[in-house]
Amino acid sequence: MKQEKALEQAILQGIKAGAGRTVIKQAARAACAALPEREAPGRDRRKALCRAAAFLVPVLAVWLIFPLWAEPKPRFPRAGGGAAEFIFAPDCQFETPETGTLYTLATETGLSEELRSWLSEEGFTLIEDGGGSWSASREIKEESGGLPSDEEAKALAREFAERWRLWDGNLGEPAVSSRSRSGDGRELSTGVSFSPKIDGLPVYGFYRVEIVFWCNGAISAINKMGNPPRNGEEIRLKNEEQIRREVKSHPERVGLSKESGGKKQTVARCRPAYYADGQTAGGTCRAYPVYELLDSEGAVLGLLDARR
Amino acid sequence: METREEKLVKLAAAGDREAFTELVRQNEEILARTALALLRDPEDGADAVQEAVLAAWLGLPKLKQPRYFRTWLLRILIRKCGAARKEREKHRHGELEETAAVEKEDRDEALDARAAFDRLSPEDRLVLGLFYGDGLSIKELSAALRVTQAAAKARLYRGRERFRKLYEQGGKNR
Repeated sequence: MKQEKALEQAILQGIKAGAGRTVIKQAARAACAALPEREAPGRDRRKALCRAAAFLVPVLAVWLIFPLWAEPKPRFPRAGGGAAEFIFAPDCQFETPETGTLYTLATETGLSEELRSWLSEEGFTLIEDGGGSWSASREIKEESGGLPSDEEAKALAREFAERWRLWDGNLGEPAVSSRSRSGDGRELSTGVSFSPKIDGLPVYGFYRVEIVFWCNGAISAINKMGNPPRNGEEIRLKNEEQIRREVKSHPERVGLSKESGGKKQTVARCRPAYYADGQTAGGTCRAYPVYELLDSEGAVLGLLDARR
Repeated sequence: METREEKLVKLAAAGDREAFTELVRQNEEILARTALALLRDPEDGADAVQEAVLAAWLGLPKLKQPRYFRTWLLRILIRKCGAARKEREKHRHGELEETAAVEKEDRDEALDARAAFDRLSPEDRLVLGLFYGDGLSIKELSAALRVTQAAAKARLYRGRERFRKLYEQGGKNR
């Protein structure tokens, strides 16, 4: 042990005895005194890219989690796969009202000054997408504190949504809609979504409120997509025969679930629903009547525009 | 909790020259020691450190984790020293025989701690200098050398054993 200590002392002597350190230190200071300009445009570009990424990542995440034809409950995760061939089960049930309502949705964000201030103070990056939608997210490094249980997360999400009046109307029941995990399997976040209905019918597309909780218990993201209807006009809807004909002759017109892409599907039920789009070119957001095509187990195979 | 160094790194990354200068001052001892360990020659070391400081200033906005500033700076310096050594070897190829003769003569002299340390390879000097001289942990050492922690430990062990051998050899001759 003593020998080891003596050896370490000798190493230290050897290190410290090295001449020339002062010259090198002076050189380092001289370099600092003559630092060149950094390329500002490059830096700005990088910063701009970072800012763009900070905006795009949550937006892309929202699009991935809630794509155009996403079902409010997470069993219909994304559109895609190309046209499928549909056949109708012999006892297929159709619910085809003669008329429906084409709704215009409110386009205000509904963000109060208090909520904006709170988001800013808490370090959120806010993106206002237009059409009444906005997303706010922040990076949280802290990973201790505990992820709330699903029930806690739902209660906290409701409390938050109500406190800040995120939705002008009935939000409906919360459901866990997303989870993320680290590479080593730890749960990092839980997303809770509210999927409000229109006329008691499910609404697809940009029409939900999601609050994501990070594993330290804090909120890491808020996505508020869409607004309740402002007014509506009565329109005529397709009847059973028109639905059958269109689905058979133009399967490409059916918005597909991921599962039904490229497959032969049997439709057991057809019922009305709504699809809310993002902002249109005219700055108007609408909720369109659609028909859900369901299989015998109630899984959504696709959506068809219900307007004649 | 953000350390003072991390704050300085963020300021420097945003273009604050004074913050960067303070960071360099805080690390000048380790820079000097590392450059000397690898190059031995103070003039070459000064050049390498100047180049490393300049590269660090220009590259700082790319550093993602401010807390790794020291090891990041060291890695830049180690690369610069490596390049300087290659350059020097090119130019000094013709002097090798002469150097070898001088070293042989030196080996007959009594070796004290400094001489033993100087006789080590640049890599051994670097590892021992960073660990014993600058107090880097094994984790930091592995980050600075870009090797695993096990490899850093092994290098440290080998460097210490080589130093021991040279130092003891010097003791016998003394």
